[in-house]
Amino acid sequence: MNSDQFTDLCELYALGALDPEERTEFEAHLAGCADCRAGLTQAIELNEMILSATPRVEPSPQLRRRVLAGFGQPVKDRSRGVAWTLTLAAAATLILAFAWNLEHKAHLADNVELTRLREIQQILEAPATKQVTFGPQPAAPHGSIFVHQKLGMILIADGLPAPPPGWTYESWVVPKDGAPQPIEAFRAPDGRGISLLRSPLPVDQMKAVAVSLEPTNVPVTKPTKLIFATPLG
Amino acid sequence: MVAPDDQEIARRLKQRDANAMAELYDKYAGLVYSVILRAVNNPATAEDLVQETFLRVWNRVHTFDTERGRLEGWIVTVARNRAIDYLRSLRSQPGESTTTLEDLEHSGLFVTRETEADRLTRRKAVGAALDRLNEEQRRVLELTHFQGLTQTEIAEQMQKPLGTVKSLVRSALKLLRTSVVEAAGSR
Repeated sequence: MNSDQFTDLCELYALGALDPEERTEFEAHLAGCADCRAGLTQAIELNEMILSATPRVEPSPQLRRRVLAGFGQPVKDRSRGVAWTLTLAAAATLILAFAWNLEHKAHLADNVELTRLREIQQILEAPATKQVTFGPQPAAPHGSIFVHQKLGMILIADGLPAPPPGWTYESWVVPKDGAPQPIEAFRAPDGRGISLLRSPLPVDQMKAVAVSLEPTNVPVTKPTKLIFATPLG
Repeated sequence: MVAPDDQEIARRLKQRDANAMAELYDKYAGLVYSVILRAVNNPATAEDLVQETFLRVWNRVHTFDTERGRLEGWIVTVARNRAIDYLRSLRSQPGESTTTLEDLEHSGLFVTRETEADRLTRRKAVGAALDRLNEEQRRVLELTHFQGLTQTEIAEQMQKPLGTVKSLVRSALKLLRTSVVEAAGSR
């Protein structure tokens, strides 16, 4: 392949649309060819212009609310004038900050986190969701619990101390009758943690929600070191 | 030079300002949605991918060059790549391609020293040049840019010899490149 032929491949390379053999050959050439490196910059911009020339189709107004709700934006739906409550917006801010802290480089992790965000968002958006706050002292663990009888529960806790090495936070629901039931292990970067219960929660049969520290990678049976418990009622 | 609005939005996004995300959405959601919908041809899927696009921009904006970065170029590429990732997952070929797309949407690739006016002129020229492509040239660009197909895959889909497809791609891109060069020379 001569230099002109490589130049012709710049746009396709920038799109990730070269066959594997061509891509390998192109990358080997690119390392030693200043013209092609300059050509690649121009190719990226040409690709953008081709994409941007797409005839516009406007998304639904509901999408704006859906997207921005995840970013803690106190959104007014421009088509319907519906305002989010500041409480839910604040909760969403915490959730996004949490997602940010959990970010992994892998694409798969993005998708997993996005699915989790959608489940959280579904609970936050549901009209029947009830909120319980706990621990008003800023220095101690404090936060909110959002409960939906059918969808599940979100626990947002702030002010959690950093767990000792080898220990992990675990969330629990405590029934009025019976032993505490573990929800999930969760991390608390910067003292902030979110735990999600993805199953129906009969609130009238529940006494409390609790957080404990548990030895990492050990099956949990009952809370080992209780950090806090807060009544659901 | 970066569009002042975009520069300010990017700067505030880096400071985790959620209001800036609303401004970004209002400015680019139409473009993002249009590009994704054109690729996946399904409004519900397109909306999911729009959400994923804005999430990715938020999560990656710390790498964005607020002085020289092209926010529109970056976000439209992220949008296109989310759609292509999705289409490739349907064709059961994730993995290798996904890694490639991740590498090719790093915000550092989307920088410029030119003015917004220069880019606007060239964009108009490209728009006009796209109208001058023949049907087959337009078709191959649709398949490379909006379906993420390689030339070999296009040859299979169009049932044409690979050499013919390469020739179509080359001639289409050459016409577009020439239009950009001429537009730059006319200023």
